[in-house]
Amino acid sequence: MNSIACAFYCLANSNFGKAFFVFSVGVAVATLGYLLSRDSILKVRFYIFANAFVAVNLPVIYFSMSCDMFWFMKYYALYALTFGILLLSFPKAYKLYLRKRYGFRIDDELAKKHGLKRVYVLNTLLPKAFTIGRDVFVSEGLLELLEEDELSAVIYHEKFHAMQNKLFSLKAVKFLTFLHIPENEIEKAADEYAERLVGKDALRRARRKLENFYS
Amino acid sequence: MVKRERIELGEEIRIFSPLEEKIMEFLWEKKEATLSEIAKGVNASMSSVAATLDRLEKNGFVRKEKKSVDGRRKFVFYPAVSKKDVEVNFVQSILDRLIDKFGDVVVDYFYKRVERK
Repeated sequence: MNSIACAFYCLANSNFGKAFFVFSVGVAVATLGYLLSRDSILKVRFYIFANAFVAVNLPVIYFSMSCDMFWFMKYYALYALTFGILLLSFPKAYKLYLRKRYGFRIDDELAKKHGLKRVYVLNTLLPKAFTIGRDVFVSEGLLELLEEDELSAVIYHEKFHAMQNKLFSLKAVKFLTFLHIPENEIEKAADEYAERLVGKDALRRARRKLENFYS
Repeated sequence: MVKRERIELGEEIRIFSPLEEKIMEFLWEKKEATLSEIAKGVNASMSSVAATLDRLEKNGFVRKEKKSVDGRRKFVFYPAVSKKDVEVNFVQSILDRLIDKFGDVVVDYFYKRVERK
């Protein structure tokens, strides 16, 4: 019996065979959806579903494997644990670094206006906007550079990232599931989300201003 | 770069980097200015001026205030210290450190130098 045949034998004879089948179909459907859908936002959603199914499927495989041939599952569990801890502690560490490097304040007005829990404003004149986990960061320089609607467009773009990171940082997932991250697609989807709420023009103007600033 | 903790005695003693100096001179002359005015005045890119102003503010040479300019909230920058004070502080900190380290030699030298005049 080779290792693949053994793996199937194990699965078929364990209590988790059916669960494995269901989740595998889930992965397949979500991946197909990701490949076929045209809408960027939908594409990202399918991508997240595929990842979620893979993530759920891993422990199922782990528990259904009684043969030692699947020793690598144990190593994977160790790997996932290590990375999980690292990934969970990263946002806190990075925030500490930002506080030291720039210092920041929390802007309730911006948060309320864009339906976010918290918006941090970094104390630097360089215009910056990024998201760590669920926290959106902008900078004093950005507030000064952009008109109100342009700023909203940028913040909604970041909000989209924050929403995607609800469970887990999207970029972090690839360490656990090894699935390719379609970063272009995610950026495009975030742009589409912002455009839907503020209009195409505002986002384009904001981008042009930023390009001018850094050129 | 503004260095407070170390003094390098190269060919030329300078307190500020070239861009820092240009910005400070501009602010001392104009008394107050916005970021875009400064960038235009010293003929440098917005991003390098912004980064330099960040540094100058952190080191206490520049002060900023949020003000409404033409109906928009903008930062206005002021020099936080006068040119004279910067120079006096700079010279004092060098001499203090020299005296701390070489005490008698420095005092002796000043004495002779004053006598010579």
